[in-house]
Amino acid sequence: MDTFQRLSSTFKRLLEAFLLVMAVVVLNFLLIQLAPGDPVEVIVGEMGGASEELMAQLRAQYGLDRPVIEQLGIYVGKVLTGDLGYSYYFNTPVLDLLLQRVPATVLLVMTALFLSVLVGTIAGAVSAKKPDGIGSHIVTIISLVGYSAPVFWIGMMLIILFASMWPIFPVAGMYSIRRPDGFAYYVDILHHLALPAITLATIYVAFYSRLARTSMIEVLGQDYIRTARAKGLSERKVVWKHGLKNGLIPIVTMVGLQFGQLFAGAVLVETVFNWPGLGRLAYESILRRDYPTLLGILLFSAVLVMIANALTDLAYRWIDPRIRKT
Amino acid sequence: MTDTAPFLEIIDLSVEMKTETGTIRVLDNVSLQIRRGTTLGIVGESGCGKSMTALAMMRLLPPGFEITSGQIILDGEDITRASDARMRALRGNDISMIFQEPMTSLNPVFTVGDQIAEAVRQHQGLDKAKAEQRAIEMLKSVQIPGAEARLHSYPHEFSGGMRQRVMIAMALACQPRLIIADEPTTALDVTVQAQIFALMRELQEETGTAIMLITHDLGAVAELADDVAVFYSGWRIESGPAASILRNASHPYTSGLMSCTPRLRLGKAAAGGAADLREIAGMVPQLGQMPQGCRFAPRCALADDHCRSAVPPDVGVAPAHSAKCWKTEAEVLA
Repeated sequence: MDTFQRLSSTFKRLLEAFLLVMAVVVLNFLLIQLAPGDPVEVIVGEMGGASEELMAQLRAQYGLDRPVIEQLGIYVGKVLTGDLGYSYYFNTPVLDLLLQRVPATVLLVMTALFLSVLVGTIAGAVSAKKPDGIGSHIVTIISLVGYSAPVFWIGMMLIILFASMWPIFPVAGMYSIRRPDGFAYYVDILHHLALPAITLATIYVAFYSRLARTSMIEVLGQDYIRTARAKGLSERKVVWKHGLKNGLIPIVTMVGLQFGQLFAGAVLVETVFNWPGLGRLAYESILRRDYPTLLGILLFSAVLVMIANALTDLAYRWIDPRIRKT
Repeated sequence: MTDTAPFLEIIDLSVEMKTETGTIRVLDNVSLQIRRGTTLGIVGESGCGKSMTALAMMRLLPPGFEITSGQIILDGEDITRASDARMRALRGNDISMIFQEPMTSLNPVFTVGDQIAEAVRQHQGLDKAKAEQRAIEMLKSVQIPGAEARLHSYPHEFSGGMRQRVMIAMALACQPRLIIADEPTTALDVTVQAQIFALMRELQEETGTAIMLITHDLGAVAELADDVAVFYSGWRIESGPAASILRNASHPYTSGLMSCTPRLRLGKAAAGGAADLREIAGMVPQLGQMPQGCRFAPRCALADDHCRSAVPPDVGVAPAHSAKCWKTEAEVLA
């Protein structure tokens, strides 16, 4: 009975997720129809011009001459079979294109997320220990700056400082031109990853340090913290064990909510740093009116955000026993 | 050391709070004694300094509060200025504290077993399995049914009374020589209060620990305390053996408190008559605006100009029983 209930609730959630993805697909498709611009004109422009006949032939080939509803029907039907269509620009299946780009974006986004939660939480918690101390004011000022500086500006400043004036990091890209083998290959990627990840993380470090500070100040004033001190625990255990596990609850909530925004930020960062991920591909696809690719990217992001939310849910249950089902 | 020597002695303790407008003295030259294995009841209205005394003893005063003079001597050791490390070794091990709010005093994200075992591991260096064993014993000793299974429960799965039992188990886990219970039953309903008090007395008989019971429940004091100290507005205004104080309250405030305790008269209640609730007229003075002489004078029926201008001394009224009042001596002499 218990297993059955669990299975049926899992099934229900999967069904919900599926319907949500389909809604995202339909909505994105219709939104793109509303946008100005004709893919065929862009293709023809790249070719250096073509006759009306060729343009009509291209339209027929891509199915662009059919009514919108029919196009939508065809697209949804294909998506259901796992076929995301062909890229107008690259002339390869969109799915292949995405699978090539996904790892780079996931690596960038997850690194930035990890960095920002880690650094932000520590900075916030440290400043919460002495809310009126100098350390706390420094954290507040730095986070204010980090919060208000635009992502692309931070990216360019980092390039100027650490790739040009003091060249310890590469300017752009994900690999060196001469790709090293074995372990050095991964080190090379990390070396390239540093600046974009820091750029993307900055605003979130600022955000999470402020959130963690508020949350920890509240938690450290709670009765159970006094209980922990009355037990004779060290200040380290009081703050980092009894305090932090409670202080993390709102942070985990925000991580789940902000995952989508992090993807949006990745578009800018990938463009600035020429990072071969989904974000840059999305930007380029918009310019090229490469709609199948763009739709595929949007679909992928929606799925990734949903996976992230499911993981947040799990993390939440792990941290807060009060919301576990008994 | 003989049995009558105080296990804990507070001598002329003052605590001040720093505010933007100046310092406010929340405890003024308070002295107390607790003998080994006995219970001292501390009685007084909210804000009279009862809890501040307890927190000062734990050296856990909130930020902004500071011990400015006096001494706290625990078993011959002056802990007024003991190092943080020394205090951590004492807290939870030699002195432990049960707080007023069982609903919020347990950490919601750790199991009760972990929270009890933590103290034992901290002070006695037991390994995980042994500490867990000790936690089970403690849960059994505070009469929580199914202790082995409850070990892995979280605080939100317990009722208020059960949580307070867990707090008591936690406080007793290292067999402290002194337990400070700060209104341990205020948040609980009456039947549970009686259970908790019975439990505390039982555990005291078993372990011989001294208890400092902070309360405004004179019934609890009559039942549990060997000695009583009455607080008013940061002063300890009367202290002595419980029997002596309950029989012969010498400070007008103490006798006022006692006459405020409602007594149930069946005949009148059954007849539907209004309950005869009494109160002490007036309000506790604001901490920043203390009267010049006796702090109780504005509310005292016996007060005269002398009371209003000069701070009263501690006057002995019976063996080990004294009251801080100008009028007491006169009454005794009369």
